[in-house]
Amino acid sequence: MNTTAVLIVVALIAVTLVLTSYASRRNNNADDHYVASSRIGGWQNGLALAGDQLSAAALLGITGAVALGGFDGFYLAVGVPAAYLLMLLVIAEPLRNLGRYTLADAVAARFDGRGLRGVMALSTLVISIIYMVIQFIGAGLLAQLLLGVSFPVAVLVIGTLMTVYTFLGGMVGTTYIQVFKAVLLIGTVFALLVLVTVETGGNPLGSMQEAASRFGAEVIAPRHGDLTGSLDTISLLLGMVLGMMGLPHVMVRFLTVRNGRAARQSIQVAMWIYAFFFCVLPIFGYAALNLVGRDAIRADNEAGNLAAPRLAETLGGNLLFAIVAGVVMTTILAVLAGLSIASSGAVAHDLYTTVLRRGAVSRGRQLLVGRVAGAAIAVIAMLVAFAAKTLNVAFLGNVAFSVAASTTMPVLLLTMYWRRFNRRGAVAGLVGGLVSAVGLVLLGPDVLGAEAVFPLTIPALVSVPFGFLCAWLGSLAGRGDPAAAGTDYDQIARRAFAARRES
Amino acid sequence: MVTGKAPDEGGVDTEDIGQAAAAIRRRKRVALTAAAITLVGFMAFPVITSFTTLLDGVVNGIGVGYLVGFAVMVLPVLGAVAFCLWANRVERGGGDR
Repeated sequence: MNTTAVLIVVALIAVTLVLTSYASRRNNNADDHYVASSRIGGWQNGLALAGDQLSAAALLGITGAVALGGFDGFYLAVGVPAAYLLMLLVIAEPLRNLGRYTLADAVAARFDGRGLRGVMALSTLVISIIYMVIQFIGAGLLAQLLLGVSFPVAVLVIGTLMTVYTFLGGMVGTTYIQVFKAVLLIGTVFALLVLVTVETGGNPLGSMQEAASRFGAEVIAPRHGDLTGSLDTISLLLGMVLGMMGLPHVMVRFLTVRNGRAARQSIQVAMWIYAFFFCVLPIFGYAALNLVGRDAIRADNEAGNLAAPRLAETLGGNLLFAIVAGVVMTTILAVLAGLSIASSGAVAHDLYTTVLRRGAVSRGRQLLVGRVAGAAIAVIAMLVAFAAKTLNVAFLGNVAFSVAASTTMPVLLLTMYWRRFNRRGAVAGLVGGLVSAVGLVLLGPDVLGAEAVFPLTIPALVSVPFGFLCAWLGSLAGRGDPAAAGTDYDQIARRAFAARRES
Repeated sequence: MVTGKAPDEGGVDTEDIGQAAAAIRRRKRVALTAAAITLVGFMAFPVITSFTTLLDGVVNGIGVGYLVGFAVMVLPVLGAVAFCLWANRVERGGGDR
């Protein structure tokens, strides 16, 4: 066991618990619990958004992928700022104006009906639980590698902490933890960049140049595989860039801000952080290749997940290794807290309050159900993580992005922008997108291997257009049904888009 | 079931319905056009790197693919700044320029 690393992790967890305790005093009702009573400022929400997005998988996975795979690893980094620009342009502000606690609220503002809300909540749960399982498996494996703690112990401790954060602190506590984690992660990455730059004589891109001269230009150039591989790359980036607009734990952040201007400002703040963070990761990857070595990185972990901590160890000894390990574990905890809030909202607010009890639930009861749901979802995700310990985490991540890009994203977009969209189209889009995204993964090489019926590992290239097609066909089918029309579109557009003039 | 924010927080207070409708149309047009340009521009990057050798070169020890990739990451931030300036101006009642 690495005692220094464990002590740093314990110290960071203690800080998050203090933040949770402080936040619990402001977590008094359902509004506080789910959306922090929409009183978060632009800067704070921007840092929290960055906290949601800058995952351990990004820091460890991309650094390792570049160290071992060169340019192929860079594809995992390049899409995030573009995804957030799309979010800013088309979804953030109207979602903020239409939504209340969950993504389903924004759709329900136009189309009431328990069936649609139920399907929307189901999509949210599928995406969130897949994401949670990824975090739990990643956390368990990393705790083994970084701290010497066993997988079940790590998953149990992290699951319990996640439940405590959300049970007591709600969205307020989650926001504080995300901000703390984002500042910590950015500081650590900046410190590592300074050390790498000093190592290469003051040239930030020196490690890339050194890698090219030592290992050949092919390590810094795009690779050209077969047609299937190229289409998989395009499918990956399409799923990523569109899927982020459908990720519930990211999108509910826009329900926490005071006004549209704060929503825009928060994306801008987050995007500056992403541009810095994701531009730096390839530099770390090549620095790890040069300083740690390909064989040593592979010896730790076949996927290269320890390349960043090992680079830190090479540059700053065990103390820096321990700091990176501590920051990584805090990062996982913060992402899990965000996921827990989004998924417990889908259960308590959408499924229990609206679908099951038809709205006849007091706010106090809704808060209680939300807290219990958060704990229950944590238990389910931990059990799945124990059962799926050997599953490829990157594969699960791609499934989550593809499901989000094929279900919640098209329905949110069409609800806000398409006058002739109707309830039948929304249900068809959600069901069609969900079935195609999950179905194509089950028929693909990650599940069936050489017997795969569908050649791509990432289904977004097919499932996203199919989700839109289903929504369009469903809307055509429901055109003659007045009950499917929902609220007058002009009224919805005024709520979603009209700007409030400032005096 | 009440959903969404109260109108005074994010809704319209423009008195003239026709003016408001025109503002909404303009807002949607700007958002969707810019989003389409962003998506097509971004997806051009993996298409070019995967199917052509245009970005395979190396300049001063740095891959051209990386240089373009860094630009693909920074340009959206500048786009976001421009959009926010425009949206803030519209919100203040300044309209398009």
